[in-house]
Amino acid sequence: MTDPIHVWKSQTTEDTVTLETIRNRANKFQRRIAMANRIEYAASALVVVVFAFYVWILPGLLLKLGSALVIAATFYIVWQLRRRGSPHAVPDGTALALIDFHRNELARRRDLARSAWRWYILPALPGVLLMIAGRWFQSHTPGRTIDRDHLFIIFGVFICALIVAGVRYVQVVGARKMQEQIDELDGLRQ
Amino acid sequence: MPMQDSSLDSQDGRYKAAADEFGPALERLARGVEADPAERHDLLQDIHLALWRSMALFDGRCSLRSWVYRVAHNTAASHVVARRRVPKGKCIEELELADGQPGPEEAVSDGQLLERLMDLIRSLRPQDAQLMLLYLEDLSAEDIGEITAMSAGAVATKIHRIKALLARQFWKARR
Repeated sequence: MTDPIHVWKSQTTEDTVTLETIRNRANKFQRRIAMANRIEYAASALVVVVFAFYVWILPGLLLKLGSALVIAATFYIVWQLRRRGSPHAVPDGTALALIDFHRNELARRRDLARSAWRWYILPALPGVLLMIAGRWFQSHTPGRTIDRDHLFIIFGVFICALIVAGVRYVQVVGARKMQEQIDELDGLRQ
Repeated sequence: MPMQDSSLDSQDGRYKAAADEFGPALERLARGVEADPAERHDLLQDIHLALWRSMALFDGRCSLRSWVYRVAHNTAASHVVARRRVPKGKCIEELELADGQPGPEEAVSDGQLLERLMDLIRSLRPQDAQLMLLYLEDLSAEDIGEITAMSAGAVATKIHRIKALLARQFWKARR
């Protein structure tokens, strides 16, 4: 029988990495993170601009207040994203023992999945609910009867609720699976 | 990347020493993890970058060997996640059981055996693939324990299963 270790170690190696290459890569990596952050801020700024415009043009207090709350929620979510660490950065602790590194990453993703509704969905809810109330009580689509307009609103809310529930379900199931993997890793330490 | 001038020389020096000693092992690791040549080249550069960065923090609390393998394997694991190719993968125990019967006689070269070995590694779930790669680098059970933080018992069990699996696979191929 051939020794697999011998076969493995007798591979010829040809790729060389110089310090110059590493420095260039480090700079490129920093630029990539900066660009990803800029895109994230630009997307948030776009939401703020659009909803500020809504505050200006939409009729009725509820719609205006709802739009203002969506802007506030956007600032809060961006702050939370920064606080919880950029998703583009290299995870800390690359010199950790392998199962500790795996465990940390799993725990980070599990906690994110478990808590996302609190800092991602919940803050946006008051603004969205006020806007729905505004549409229901104060602003109706021209050329549509109020009853028919209400049906459209109910349908829209139902679709949105379904999407949010689906996302939440995936997060909960994902968090449970990650916890199972964490338990398995803990078992390997004993 | 910003670095402190006072640590520049020693960080570079420590990195060079580590890269000289473990460079081939790092390349083999990249091959085991990544099948696509361009992606593999990128991964190898990422591993070296992570190693160079980490050398600013190396304090000798574990051996240089353990440090290098930890940084390299953890970087490779992040690469797999970032590429969204986190394979469900099989665990060694599943493969060992599924592969109980000897296959047809074949005459194959070392190159083909190596390809099979790569396929086998890439079919494993990440933690088991890491363990297999460390075993193939001929590290002792003690070293593997220090690198992975697995208990001695868990390492011994896993290595026993890896040996059985490899013996069966290679025996099949060369018989």
